[in-house]
Amino acid sequence: MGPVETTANSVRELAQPFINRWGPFSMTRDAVSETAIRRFCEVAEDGNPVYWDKEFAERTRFGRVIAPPQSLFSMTFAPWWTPDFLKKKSSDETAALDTVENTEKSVSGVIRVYGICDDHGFTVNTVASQEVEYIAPFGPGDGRLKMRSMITEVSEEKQVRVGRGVFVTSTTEYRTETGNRLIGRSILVLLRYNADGSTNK
Amino acid sequence: MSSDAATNFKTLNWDDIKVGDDLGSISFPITLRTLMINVAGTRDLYPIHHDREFARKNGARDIFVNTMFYEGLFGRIATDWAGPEAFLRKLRFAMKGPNCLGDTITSRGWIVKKYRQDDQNLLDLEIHLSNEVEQDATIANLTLELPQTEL
Repeated sequence: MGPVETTANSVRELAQPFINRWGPFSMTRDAVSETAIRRFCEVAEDGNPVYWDKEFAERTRFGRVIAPPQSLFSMTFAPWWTPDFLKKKSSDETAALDTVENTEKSVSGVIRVYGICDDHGFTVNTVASQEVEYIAPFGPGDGRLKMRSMITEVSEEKQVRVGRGVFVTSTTEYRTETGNRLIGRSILVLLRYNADGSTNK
Repeated sequence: MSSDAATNFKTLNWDDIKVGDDLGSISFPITLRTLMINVAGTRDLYPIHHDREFARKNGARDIFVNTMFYEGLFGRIATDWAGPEAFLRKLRFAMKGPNCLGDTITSRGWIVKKYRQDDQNLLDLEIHLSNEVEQDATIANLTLELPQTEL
């Protein structure tokens, strides 16, 4: 192992330019659907009829089938495979969104900071804590979901149970495609670590 | 499922709930099937949740349920207790330790606060998940909104 690192090389220091700056909006590939809701409900065996039964849901205060609010994070996960032509189409759409919503082209600080973590050997990630605020119900009919994120904090390097790493805190906001309604906001603390416990070379 | 079967679902009346009320307990065995449904239903392909070698190499006892499993389970526990018209407003949780393949999750939970804010009937809930290896491996704080009560 080399000499003691200067702080200028730390993840925390390198991440500074990206702190508290919103990244570009991105949009899910698929609209919120009854099928996606049901597949999410299968996971924890959630039989709440407002997620499953149209007639029942229409008589409730929600007035329609809604997604479990807690499915928001899952609903915005990257798809497993997309044909190239559709990737091109959706990246054009996303670029258009960004131009409409932001005066200058924004850089995804989240991607950049996770990249800095990778460069330091902190390639494994685990969620340390998560806090989500569900601002309004969403469901089929709201179209796709839009989100944007920013990094709000990066810790100093720490030795933890599973290895050595940094805690990266980010905030994400979620909107519906139809009506651009704000439906949620989350704060995620992600531990990026190096499982063999060694520090940066 | 017919709506007739769903008419049995009732939502609790906010006025009848007291701080300290017990949410009951559920038990959830984490089998390989659970973890497969977890991946399929939440779209999370990160290998620590389905590749045992990867999980162990990276300091975990074994593959374990992901963040969205907890989200789903905490939300379910809350609305199973309060009824279908309760709406989850906030969810915060910390993972001290994983719930792994072969573990059985056991929950306990109670009401910690009852209040009105922004014209909403709110309840704060605390839910703990334990398994055979670790007591209170995951602790969640939820805010649940109940429908307006009629005068």
